[in-house]
Amino acid sequence: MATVTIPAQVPPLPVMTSLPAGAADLATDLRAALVNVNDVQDWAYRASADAFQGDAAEASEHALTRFARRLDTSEAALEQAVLATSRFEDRLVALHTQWLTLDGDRTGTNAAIDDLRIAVQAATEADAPELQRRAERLQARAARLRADIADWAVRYDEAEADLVAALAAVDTVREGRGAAGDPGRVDPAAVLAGMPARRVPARVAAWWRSLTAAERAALVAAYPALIGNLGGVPADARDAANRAAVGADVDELTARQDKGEPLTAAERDRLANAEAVQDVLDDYREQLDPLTGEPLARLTQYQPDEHTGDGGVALFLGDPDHADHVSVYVPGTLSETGNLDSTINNVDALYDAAHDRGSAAVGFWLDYDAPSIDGVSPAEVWDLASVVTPGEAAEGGRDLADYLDGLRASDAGAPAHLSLVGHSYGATTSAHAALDGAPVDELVLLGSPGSPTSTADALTGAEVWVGSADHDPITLLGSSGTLPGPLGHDPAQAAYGGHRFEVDAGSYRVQDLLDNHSSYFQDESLDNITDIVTGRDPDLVEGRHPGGYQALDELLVGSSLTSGGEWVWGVGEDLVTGVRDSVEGLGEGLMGLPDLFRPGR
Amino acid sequence: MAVTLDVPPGVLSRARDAWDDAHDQLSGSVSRLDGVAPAKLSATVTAAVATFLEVWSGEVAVLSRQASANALAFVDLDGDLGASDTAEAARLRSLLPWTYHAAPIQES
Repeated sequence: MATVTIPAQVPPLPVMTSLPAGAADLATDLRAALVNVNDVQDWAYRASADAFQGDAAEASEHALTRFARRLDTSEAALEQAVLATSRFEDRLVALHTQWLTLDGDRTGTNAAIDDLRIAVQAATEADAPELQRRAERLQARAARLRADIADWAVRYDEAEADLVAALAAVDTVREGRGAAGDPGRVDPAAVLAGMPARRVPARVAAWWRSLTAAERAALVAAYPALIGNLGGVPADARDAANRAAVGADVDELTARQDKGEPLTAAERDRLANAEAVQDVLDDYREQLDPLTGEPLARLTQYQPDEHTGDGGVALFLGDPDHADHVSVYVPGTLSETGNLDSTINNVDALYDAAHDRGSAAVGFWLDYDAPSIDGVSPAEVWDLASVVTPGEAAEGGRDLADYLDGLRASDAGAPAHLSLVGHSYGATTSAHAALDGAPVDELVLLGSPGSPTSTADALTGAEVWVGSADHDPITLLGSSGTLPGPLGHDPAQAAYGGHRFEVDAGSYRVQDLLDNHSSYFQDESLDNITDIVTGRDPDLVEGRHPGGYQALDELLVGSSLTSGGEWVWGVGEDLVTGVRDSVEGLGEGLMGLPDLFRPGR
Repeated sequence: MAVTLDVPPGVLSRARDAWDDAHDQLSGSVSRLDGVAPAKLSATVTAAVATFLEVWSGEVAVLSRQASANALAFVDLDGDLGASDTAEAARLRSLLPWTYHAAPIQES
């Protein structure tokens, strides 16, 4: 039989011993160190002779000026290292993606070679010419692949060599002095002066795109609090700035604590918020984007001093600038930066479910003054309503709409399918954001205590989806008629015109009622939310009709009796009358609408 | 003999606080640099990082200690420098912002 030359298998690709996540962690540490060095150098420079153009000889005798100049060398060296490490990370991301592609090609090519070998073993003399042609095509394919792999290896080695060279160029104090005096050194203040005066996200995005990598890196390190929270700046840059700010806060305040220096109340809040965010980032340290190898979590907002110490924070799992489906979850009461566990659990559940169905990024936004109420019991639902007003939701809604504008502006490629998912008071806040023109495709209201308009059409042009469990008492706070409840209208009403989707009705035991309010990120409810945020149709149910469901007072009494009546006896006599009095009091106190407010039917 | 420095009230305490803050922030940076534990990086890169960090962590630590010493120099001072001679007073003056570089030093 004629000979068929079977190509050799393509050997495995070189292992990437430097990974994007390793470079990202290093860059974060260097930036965090640089932020504090930067702050001190900025103070020292402004107080020094250099800032006042003092006489050179006299200035050299001025200790503070000497200190500022000396610190500037450390700052310059760290700047160089941060820039080099950032570039290294970017190159590793590209190399990692290429590695996956090449490895896939290699697997396919080797499988084709194996198939050829089997075919040859079973072939007749007549098959030989065709098999030889097939072998030659495979040989060419394998040769191209080997060349591509060799190219890849060269580029990988170059990336490492460039980083090593960049670090070596500033690894003596003398070299640091040279870097400090380099006329090409970026002045972040001068770059910042070019930022659009009106920080409209679309303009900010265009300005950011016009900057060099060195200018961007300098801004991130010099102004982390600004860049990390600036709408229109890409999520990766915001993440880098915010991680640096978190690290710098922890470093500085921990140093003071370790010294035995008492922190002010505001500083204690800031440290607690920074540590809580750092804990979340640490929890996700090992979770990487499977395509890029970068850390999965992106910190897109960090304002530790906001909201009377509660702090403001937003975080994504996935890349909101490149994902096809982007969802932002807004938690409600009891949510604050220092207490992120349940918020993260919900985001995690939705990300896992959505990611299974395609390219998705799921985040949360908690940068408003969510009411903080500890230890609420079913008996205190009325009290909850009496201290919670729509004011914070309206104010938060405006900021949330701005945040979403920023996400739209930094979106790369085709516009993402953007969903806003609000829960509880966060649903009211999300509805206010929609009313303020938040650029979303889907608005999902979970366990909503009220919406600012009486119909979905009056609220937004987006699709409005409503998840309200029958036995969730918070959803019964919203009014069913034309007059608003304490936080607005019940969006689960059929007359509201939203799409009510199926959720578990929840337990009918009075002690479980508030658990019903916290169970939307489970089971069929989670499935339906996932459908919505990935562009599919969820399972729908009828909206509420007056007379067709239990109002709040009926739910409280009925579920209490079903549970043995303990709560009824504990609360005291004439419960229903008391509850109704409370409702009317709410109407008077919150909305100036005596005797008109009545939830349910 | 007492030596006084003619600066407005509060300048010395503000200088002390500013140097103290500088010390805290630089200490934080040193802790951060000392705590870097490169992972998921090759041996070649890790070695270059280690060399870089050793130099700059050391340099920032020196400046952090300087800031601490400068803050301590102002402790317990309130207008009256308590300095024993004009040279010491001039040294303290040079730790103040440049605005005060010519503030009069007087012996009494």
